[in-house]
Amino acid sequence: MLAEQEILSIRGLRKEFTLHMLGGKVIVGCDDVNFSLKQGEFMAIVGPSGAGKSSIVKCLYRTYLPTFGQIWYRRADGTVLDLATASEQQIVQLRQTEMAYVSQFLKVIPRISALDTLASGLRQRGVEMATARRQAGDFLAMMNIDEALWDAYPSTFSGGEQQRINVARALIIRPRLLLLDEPTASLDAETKRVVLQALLTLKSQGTTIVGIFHDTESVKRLADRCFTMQAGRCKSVSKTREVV
Amino acid sequence: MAEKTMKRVLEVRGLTKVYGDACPDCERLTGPESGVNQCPRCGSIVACSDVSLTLDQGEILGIVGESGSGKSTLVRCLYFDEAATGGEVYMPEDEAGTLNLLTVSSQKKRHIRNHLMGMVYQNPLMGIKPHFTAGGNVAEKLLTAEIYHFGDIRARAAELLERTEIPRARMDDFPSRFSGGMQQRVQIAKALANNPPLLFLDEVTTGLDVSVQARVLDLIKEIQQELKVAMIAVSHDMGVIRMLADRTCVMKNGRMVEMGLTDQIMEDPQHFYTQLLVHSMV
Repeated sequence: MLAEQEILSIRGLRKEFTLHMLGGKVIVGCDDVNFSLKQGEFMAIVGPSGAGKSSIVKCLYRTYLPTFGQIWYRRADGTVLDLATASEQQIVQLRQTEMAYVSQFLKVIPRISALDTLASGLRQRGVEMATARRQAGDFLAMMNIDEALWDAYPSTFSGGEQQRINVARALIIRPRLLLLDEPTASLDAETKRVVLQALLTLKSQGTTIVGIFHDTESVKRLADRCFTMQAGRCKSVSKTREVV
Repeated sequence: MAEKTMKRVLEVRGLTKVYGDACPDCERLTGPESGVNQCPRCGSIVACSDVSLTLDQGEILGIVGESGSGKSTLVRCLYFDEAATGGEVYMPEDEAGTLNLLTVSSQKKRHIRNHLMGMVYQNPLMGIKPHFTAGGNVAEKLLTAEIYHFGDIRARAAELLERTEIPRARMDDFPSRFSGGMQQRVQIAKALANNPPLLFLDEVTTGLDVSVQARVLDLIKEIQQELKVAMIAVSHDMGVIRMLADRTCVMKNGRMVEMGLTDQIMEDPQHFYTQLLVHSMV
C-alpha cells in the first residue's frame, strides 16, 4: 500500500462524471494519475485550465467520488486508509482532525465573524475559547486583515480579504495533509509573500501539501516536485528546478 | 495519536413504512424507477422503504427530497410518531442498546423518546402547546423526563429560553402570542430540555422569514457545536442542508437514492435524481 515514510500514494486515479441529464454522457476529469508523497513533501500540480488539476485535489478531499484507483493515506495514528473508498464518516473525521482544503473561493457560514470563523476550527479540536480567539487574532494580524474587520462577516469582505481568511482558516489548524486549489490567485504581492511564508513554515513542521498553482514563483518557492497535467493526464513529474 | 472513535447514537436498518395492506409487488412496482410510491396493484402507499443509516455523536445528517419522498415519514417513524412496518432501529446509548426499538413496548418507546430524543416539527404548534406558557412548555418536557423539582425546572426553562433568545420577560407568556420564529425557538428549547443525544428537525425553517430562518439555523449550528447533539435534519431546501449537514441522504419515492458527504452531493451528484435536484437550485 504505502512504502515506508510515504504518507500519501495515488494509484491509477480516474474521475469520470456521468451526466444523466445529457443521456449518460461521460466526461473524464482526470485519468491514470499516479504519485506518492513523503511526510512534509510539497507537490505542485500545474497545467492549463481544464487539464484536470482540481479533479485530483477534489478526489483527495472526496468532494469528488473517485471512479477508479486508490488514494492510500497514512493517518496520524499510523493506520492506512484508502480515501477513495473510505466511509463518509471516516472522511468527516479526517476533515475535522488532520486534513484541510483551501478552495478558490471562500465558503463560510454567514453571520459568523472573521475571528470566530478562524477560532471555530480550533474549538472543534478542543482548544479553549479564549485561546482559540487569541490565536485567531494572531492569524488575522499575520494575514494583514485590518483589526476593524475582525468582528465583521467574511462574506462581506473583498475578494482578496476573503481569500486570506480562506487560507488562514486552513493554516491555523496545522493540518497533516493540506490541499490547495490556487490559494494565492487573488492576493496582492505582499499578502502572497506572507501566505507563501506561512506555507513554508507549515511544510517545515511536517505538513504534506498538494497544491494547484498557476504562477511559477509560488511553485519555485514551495514545491519539491511538479506534476504537470495535460488533457486529464500526467504529462510529466519532475523535480521543481527542472520545470521552472 | 489514537484514532478518535465517535460514539454511535443511532443505527437504522431497512426501515420501511407502508400505508395500506401491502402486496408482494409493492416494493417492485414503486420507487424512483417507476416514479410512484403508490402500488398500482393494491393501492398501498410505500412511504419509505429499506432505509438504512447510522448517526454518530455531534453529527448532522441532512435528508433532502421533494414533497412525498418519504423524508418526514422516516423521522416520524424514528420518533415513534408513526409505527414502522418493518426494519430495525438501535440506539447504543440506551441501556437496552441491543434491542430493536421498533419492537419494544410502547412504554419503553415513550421512555426512550422522553430521555434520548427531541423533535422539532415544521409547525411549532405540533411540538408546543399554545395555551401553556413558554416556560410551561419546557417544564412539560422535563416532567416527562422525570424531573420534578420546581426550582430546577424553572431554572432549566429560563436557561433554555435564554439560549434560544426568548426574552426572560416572555417566559410566562403564551406562545399563541408569539411570532412564528419565536414559537419555533420555544419548540427548540423544549426539544432540548431533556438534554437528548439525538434531535430530529423536520423542515424547521420552512415558512419562516429569511432573517428569522437565519437565526434558527445559527442556533441549531451552535447547539451542535456546543452540546454535541446528533441531528437528523429534514428539508427540501438544499441551501439549509448545505449549511447544516456533514452528510446528506437524498430520497425519492420512498427510497434513499444517494448518501454522501454534503459537498460531494452538491458538486458530484451520482444519481439521476440528485443531479436534477442540484441543477434545479436557483
